Amino acid sequence: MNDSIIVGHNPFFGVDHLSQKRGNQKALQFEDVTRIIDVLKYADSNGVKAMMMSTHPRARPLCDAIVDETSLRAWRIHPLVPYMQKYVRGANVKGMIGMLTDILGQASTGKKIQLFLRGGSGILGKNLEDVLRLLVDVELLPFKDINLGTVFLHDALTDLAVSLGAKEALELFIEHVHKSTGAQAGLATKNLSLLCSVLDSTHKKNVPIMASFNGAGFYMNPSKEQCEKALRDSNISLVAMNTLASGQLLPEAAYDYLAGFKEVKSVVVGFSREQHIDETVSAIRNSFGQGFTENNG
Amino acid sequence: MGIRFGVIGLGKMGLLHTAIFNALDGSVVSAVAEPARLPRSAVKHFLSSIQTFKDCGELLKSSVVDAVVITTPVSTHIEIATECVKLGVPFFMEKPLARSVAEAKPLVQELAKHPTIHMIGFMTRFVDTFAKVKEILASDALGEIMRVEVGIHVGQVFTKGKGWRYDPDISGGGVLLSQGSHLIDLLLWYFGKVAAVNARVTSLYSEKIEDSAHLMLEFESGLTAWVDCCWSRRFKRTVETSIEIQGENGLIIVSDDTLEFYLDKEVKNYSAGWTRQTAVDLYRGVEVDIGGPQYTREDLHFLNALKNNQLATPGIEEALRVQSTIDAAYKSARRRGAPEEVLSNT
Repeated sequence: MNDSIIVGHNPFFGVDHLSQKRGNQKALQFEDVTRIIDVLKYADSNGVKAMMMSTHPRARPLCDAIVDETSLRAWRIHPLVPYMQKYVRGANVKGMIGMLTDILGQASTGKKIQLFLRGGSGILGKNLEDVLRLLVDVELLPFKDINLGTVFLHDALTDLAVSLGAKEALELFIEHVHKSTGAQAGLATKNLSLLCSVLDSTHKKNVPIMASFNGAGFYMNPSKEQCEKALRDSNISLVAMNTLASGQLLPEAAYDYLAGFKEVKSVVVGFSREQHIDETVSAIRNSFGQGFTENNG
Repeated sequence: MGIRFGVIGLGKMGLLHTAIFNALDGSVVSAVAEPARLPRSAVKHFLSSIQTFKDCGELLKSSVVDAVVITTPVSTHIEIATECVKLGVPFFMEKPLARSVAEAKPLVQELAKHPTIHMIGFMTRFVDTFAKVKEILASDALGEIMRVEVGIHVGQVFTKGKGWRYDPDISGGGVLLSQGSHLIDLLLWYFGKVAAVNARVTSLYSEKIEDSAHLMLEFESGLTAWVDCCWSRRFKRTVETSIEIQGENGLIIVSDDTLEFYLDKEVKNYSAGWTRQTAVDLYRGVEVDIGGPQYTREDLHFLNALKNNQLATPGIEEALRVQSTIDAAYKSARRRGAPEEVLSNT
């Protein structure tokens, strides 16, 4: 991970973990994609050049707008796949098979033919791994013209695989992302300590982990202390999220805490106003030192 | 190795409980039963230590499980759970209990003859903010409860759905039974039994089930509560549960993420004025988080009941009360909101 400050997608896509109302207000504020571009341009002028983005329905128009904006061409986008709400809602409305069939329907004809030639019946039996690879490809479609950073697997799937003992599924994701896009794969998790306990040394070295990490212990399982120990013992590269504990922590104290861990290589932050960008970038530089943010790009 | 679990039904909730029980200290998932080939193939491919069965009867008789999780469509709940009790296999079953109280009768009778540890998955009780409300109400700090208004909303159904949830012969109902049952369970837990219900239900997008329900519950205590359930609300990305409780001494406004509590004067250990606690303030880490800590706490509660050979709650009694309240609501709705007495089952 070269990007020390990564702009999070939540405010732009109307996601607020503590208040849906506040999330909706943000969604309204950023309904026009040019407003998001304005925020990104201001962040760019502060030395920030990376964004985390889930495959939310708004990802594609936003990616297109970033590609069209000359001053943002150097920006690296780190996708978080898949957009879980789409799968949960799809499974609720159409059942799991109906949902998968719909999503796979977005794959290019060439890919579908490849899948057919490999085994015919599509999503059953030995073709399962091919289907999972194809799902990853479909999820990455909005990012095809973008300067791709690390592709993170959503925490719900990482944690499902870890809890079930399906480490091979994680390896499949990591290998396929690299083969298919040339990009690095990463893993998001709500169970940092558990994930660290199952990753081998190669993956610890090469696969960035994105997890909640904050002085309040919010979303840190099984405890703040065990996550801190796991981080120190495992020598992974951590992309810290929920760093302000959903707005409960002041930036200075929050980033001072994070700066105490050399494993924290990147910080995901939610920006929505120019003043907020100035304050956040300044607080991160004060806590981590100027060198931390100079790694950008 | 710990307690060996079998999971019957590998949909969304089945996967979630499989992951949690497999990761918790003291339990492991040793078998799954699922008629659909895709999830079975995935388990065989990635999880070789878990035995797969097409039929749940085979799993129950296989001797490879000590307890089971039932996460199948609602219409199959009672038959499977009754079979578990006959075989002496403890079970955790996702809510709702059944399509109706009448349907649940064989299970009630079998449990009376052969008491078996069981639990019904009304997980909202295990959400930090709602559990805190129970504590406040139990302390009597609010004094006499005068007014209750609750809602459960999500933006999920905006077209005619295709899965089993939209077929009342399989699901038993729409948003009221599916999502509203969580809310009814919370209200019964907080305020005791319901005596009568007035209800209206509306299909906004679905053909055969309700997408919206409005209820007025009259509790045995005389308290009334207004309930609004809808899964076709725009801009509700995730399920949002909100409760407002007004008592003679103050007010509680609570949602999944925030608890606001106002008291006119200091009562017991609670100070006067506003107290605000968010999910961040109340957060306690869990051994493993798959889909929210409340699911882990719920599964842990059942696991501990098994380890200690104790009753787990909510069980059949609580689930029957929820079911009879919802049965009465559907009856009232068919009579355009006329009051319907809730039949006492326990």
